[in-house]
Amino acid sequence: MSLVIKNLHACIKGGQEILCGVDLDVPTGEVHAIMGPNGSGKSTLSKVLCGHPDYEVTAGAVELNGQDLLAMSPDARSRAGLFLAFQYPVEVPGVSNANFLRAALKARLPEGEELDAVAYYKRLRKVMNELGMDPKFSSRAVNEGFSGGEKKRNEVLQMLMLEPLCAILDETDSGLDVDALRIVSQGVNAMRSSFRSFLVITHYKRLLDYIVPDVVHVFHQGRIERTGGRDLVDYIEEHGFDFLKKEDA
Amino acid sequence: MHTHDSNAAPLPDRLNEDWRFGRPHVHARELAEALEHAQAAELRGIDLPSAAQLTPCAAEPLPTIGSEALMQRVLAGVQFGHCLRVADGLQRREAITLHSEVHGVQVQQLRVIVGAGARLHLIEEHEYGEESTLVCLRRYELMPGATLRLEQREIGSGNARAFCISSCICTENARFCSLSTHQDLAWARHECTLELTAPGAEALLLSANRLRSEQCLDMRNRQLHSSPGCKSRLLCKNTLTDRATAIFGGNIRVQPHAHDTDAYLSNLNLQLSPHATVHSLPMLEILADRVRCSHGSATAPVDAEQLFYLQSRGIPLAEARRALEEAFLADVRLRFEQF
Repeated sequence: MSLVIKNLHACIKGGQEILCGVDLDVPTGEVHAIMGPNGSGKSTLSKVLCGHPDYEVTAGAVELNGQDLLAMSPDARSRAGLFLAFQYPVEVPGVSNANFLRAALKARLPEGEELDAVAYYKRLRKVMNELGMDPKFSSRAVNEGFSGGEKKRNEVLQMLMLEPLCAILDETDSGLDVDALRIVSQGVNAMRSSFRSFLVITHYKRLLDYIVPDVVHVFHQGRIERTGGRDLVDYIEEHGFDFLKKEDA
Repeated sequence: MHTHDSNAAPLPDRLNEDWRFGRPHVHARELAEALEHAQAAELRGIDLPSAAQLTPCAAEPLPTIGSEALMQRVLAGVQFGHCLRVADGLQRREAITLHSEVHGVQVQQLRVIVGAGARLHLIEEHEYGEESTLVCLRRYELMPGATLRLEQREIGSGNARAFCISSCICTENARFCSLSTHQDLAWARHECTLELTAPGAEALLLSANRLRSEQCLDMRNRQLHSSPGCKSRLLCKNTLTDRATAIFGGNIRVQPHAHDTDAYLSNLNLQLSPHATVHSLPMLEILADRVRCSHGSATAPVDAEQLFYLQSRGIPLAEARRALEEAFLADVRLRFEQF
């Protein structure tokens, strides 16, 4: 049971190809990190996996726990257990955080079944407290007027509440100060389990000091160029991505 | 007693800039004909305290936005209205409601005077019968330090029509916030002139409207800054389905010497049907230096990124779309609650 990506090709609708044959297997219980230079296609991969309408899959297959992910609508992918913590979370004026999360949880229930409102709010307050979030954020509109760090923390709040089987964190560390990074990482680490997998996209070693990956991949020109262990992070930290250019040459 | 010849002035048509778009020649003529048979509408005060009394008063002309001829016809027909006078210093947390049921063709005139330092939440509710028409003249005067939170609810049905002219005058340090909603009216035109006459006056004009089928809403607003150091905001939001039409005219006018003005107006439309029509005309007339004024207008379908964001959390497409449509207007209500 895992996230399995086979020979995935995708382009912006009517535009150029961005993913050029991605092969990746993230077994449950593992944390995989994806690093790579700007413009290599890392964020595109995360959006394609979640079914963003701007992208078109031209070849390949993706399975989540044996289910054909590409055949599903974006909301069905979420309900099947996929979660994306966005690099740039969207502001949704007029929809409170609490109502938004309640709707997302309710969508996971069998038809006709109601969410236990008391238990929901109790859990929401608990998780917010663990993330060091002011309870007032539950009644504020989703991400509206939030700072960059508050938006990222809100993404992790959603992840903790929705308990996905596979979570993709797209540069969750950007915009976070050191304390917030530690708190958010603790939240992610608390979710690590034998039945859940993570794909952590980042530019920086510091996030991977807190969320220690099992496997590290280097993304370049729309595909995975190299795979290794923790030592690959240290190598990139010291030498940058120049080795990719040398390999191209 | 009004001695002018009410039929002398020509009715508005497309050549009148303030009546462009929609079908002004039809609506204005029909309205003028209807006024010949108009009756005074009843007005019922609910939970009025002794410090806020509703009494009869003489009708007076109001500033219009292109409808002087219609105003003259209204005043020629009905010469008395209601006056709600709120005593100085009244602090009232609970809302006061003025309720009317509209049948046939009716005219209503209301003058609200909020005394110095008083604070009031007023709800005006018009419930329309099918085929009914209401012509409404409303004047609000806020004395120094007064605060008025005003909800104007137009609840229509069938082919109901509404034509409302509102005028609000805010004196020194007065605070005014209005929220108008138009629901299920075949045609409605709302003219609102806000005048800030002394330093420290502040106003927030809000409107949230759900338009469907062939409904047409024509909103015309003027924010008149005639004193230095005043602030005004206007936000008009509409959702449009089917073949609905929204017309918006907004004008911030800053008079000479009204320095340190802070004003903004915004018209936002959520276009949910390719057959719906929006005409939006935001304008600025700035005759003073040292002011901060701007305007904005946007008409678009549901934001694709917001839709994807909700879907990415498992909310089905139809539900996500509905939530965003409701949120678009709920945002206006939230601003009113926070005033």
